Amino acid sequence: MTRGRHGIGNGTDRGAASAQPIIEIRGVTKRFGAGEPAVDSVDLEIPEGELFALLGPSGCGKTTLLRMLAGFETPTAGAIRIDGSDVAGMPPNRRPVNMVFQSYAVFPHMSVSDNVAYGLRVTGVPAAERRERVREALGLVRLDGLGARKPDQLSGGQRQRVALARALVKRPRVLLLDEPLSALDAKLREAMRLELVNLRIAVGITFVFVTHDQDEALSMADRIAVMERGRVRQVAEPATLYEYPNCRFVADFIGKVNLFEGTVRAAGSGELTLEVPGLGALRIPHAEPVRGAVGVAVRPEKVRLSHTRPDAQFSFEATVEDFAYYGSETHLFLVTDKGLRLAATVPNSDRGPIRIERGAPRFVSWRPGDTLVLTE
Amino acid sequence: MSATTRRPPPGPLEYGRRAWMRLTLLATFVFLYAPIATLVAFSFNDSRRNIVWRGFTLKYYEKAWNNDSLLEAFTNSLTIAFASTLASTVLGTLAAVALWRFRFPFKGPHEAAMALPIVIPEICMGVAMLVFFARIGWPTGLPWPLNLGAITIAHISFSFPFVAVVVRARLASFNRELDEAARDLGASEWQAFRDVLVPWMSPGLVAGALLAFTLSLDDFVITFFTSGPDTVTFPVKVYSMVRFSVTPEVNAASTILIAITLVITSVALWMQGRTAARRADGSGGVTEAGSADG
Ligand SMILES: Nc1ncnc2c1ncn2[C@@H]1O[C@H](COP(=O)(O)OP(=O)(O)OP(=O)(O)O)[C@@H](O)[C@H]1O
Ligand SMILES: [Mg+2]
Repeated sequence: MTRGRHGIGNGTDRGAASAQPIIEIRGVTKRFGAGEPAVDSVDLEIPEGELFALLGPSGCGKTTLLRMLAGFETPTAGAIRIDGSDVAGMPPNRRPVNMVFQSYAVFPHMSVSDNVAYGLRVTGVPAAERRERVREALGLVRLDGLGARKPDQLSGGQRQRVALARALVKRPRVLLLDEPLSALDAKLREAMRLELVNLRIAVGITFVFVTHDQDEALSMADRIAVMERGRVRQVAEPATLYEYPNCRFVADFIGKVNLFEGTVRAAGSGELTLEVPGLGALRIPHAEPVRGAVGVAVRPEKVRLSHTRPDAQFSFEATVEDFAYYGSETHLFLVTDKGLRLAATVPNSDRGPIRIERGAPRFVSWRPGDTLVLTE
Repeated sequence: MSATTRRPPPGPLEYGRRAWMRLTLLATFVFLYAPIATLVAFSFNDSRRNIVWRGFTLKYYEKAWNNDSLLEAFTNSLTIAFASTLASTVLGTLAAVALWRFRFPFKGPHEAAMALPIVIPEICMGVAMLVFFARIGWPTGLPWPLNLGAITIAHISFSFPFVAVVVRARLASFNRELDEAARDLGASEWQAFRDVLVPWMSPGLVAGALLAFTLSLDDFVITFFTSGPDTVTFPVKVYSMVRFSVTPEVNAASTILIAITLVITSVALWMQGRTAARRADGSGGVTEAGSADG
């Protein structure tokens, strides 16, 4: 995982450029017929030069939102501003954005260079300039020398590069990408993540990409909007999203989480006392004084296991119910004597044999500050 | 080979090695082509009657060529076929694209109504056309080729649904993202249609046009009801000739018609094959500079 690369502190260097966001989405709703809207009152601001991800489960409206930016769908309500101007009624061919489609949509009857040149040709860019820009764009995506090939003579990864070059050659202000990596095999996908990030830095424009793969979003994006059933649940930098989710849905969708239901017993002076059935009382640092029923969550890798009772603020006993070996780490599934289940992830930092047995007792603890309190 | 070496039994797909399969195949070919072969062969027969072979001659081709009314019918047929092919290809394509592209009320009934001329018995279509042209008082006695108007219109009306069906089938496999990609890259709706959709449809266009052409060329029933004394087409003329006797002259004319149809079909297939080959062959000289301004 390369999660650390975009830390929370990363936000400062972008502050200077954010005089006006390149994309402003205000209260945008899209309905297809009756029933639940596909996109429901979404507000987003994307500053210039950001690599922004729309993340969410299948059918949550990511593609629909992206298509409204490109001009292929009209919002039922709300307004979209691109580079300061309202784009309502502006056809796709007039918008300063370009899209990389999920199927890549490389024109099958045109050679690679004709594909890349197409956007310049239809807008009347002179032939000499066209050739120069096509050459440049093909170089950018490392397809030099393949200009004469036909799409059916290319691999999936190469076709994607054609789609990228074809969009970038137009020099858009924003590049929209719909699940750009989902059609590639696992190894190539990993490689292309880095390549897309580097490409973004090389061309310096805003990228907005859609994905349902949380690893992809976390490892690539500067900021992520998590969507659920048409609504944006949280917009944050990857580390914030992972460590400080604002609701049960986000906590559960991003990474793995142990989620319990509990109640706030006492609140005040930057501390909460929580009561979780099966765990007992937990005193944790927490800025906002919340009350009532809350979700109490902890990430599996924050859970510590030991054979002896640890010197921690709180700890409890559990037995190993099951475990799964993943090479770099092992996942343990534990159950407390009160029947509460919880998962823990331990890194396999030594080469030694794994000494875990089903039914073995363990002491479980975590730092109070690692506890997530979720009100929604 | 010793007598004990036996050929292995035929595999599941080795149809050619099963006797009954060969027989069926042979019978099919005989039924399909024997009449045509006979027709062609007897056009060269040196006899007034189509019964016994009397030796080779080309005199009936000469006779057919010098038969002015047959020639006129032939010209009429070709003129009508070209005009109606052109019109029904355009109309059929537009109808297919509209049905594929847009959502509108009563789309299902529209589509079904359009396919109606395919299923309505030809005789009914013929009568309907006759009544229709009489009812609206379609002018007769116009100079050539305007006098062919009624027949051409009738031909368009029964052949454009075939084009629409063929093109529609081709469009079903079109990836709409291709059209959107073109629009996204700056193409107007018309440019996207011309540069992306038309190339995709082209095999369907060729097939549809061919279908329209042959349908028009050999239509008898509907034409019979819409033609007048000065607008005889080839099938109608042949019919009137065979009412007296089937002379080798008719055979000769029919053979020429078959030849023309074969040539046109081959040319169309060859053109299609050439585009397909050019598509598959990336180094086929289609470079940015070469084709971009096309
Ligand atoms: N053209 C359309 N007509 C009717 N409903 C649509 C249309 N496009 C999308 N929808 C509906 O809107 C909802 C959101 O669809 P959308 O394609 O935006 O989801 P998504 O987040 O991109 O999902 P996925 O990850 O599966 O691609 C879905 O319920 C879908 O059925
Ligand atoms: Mg989608």
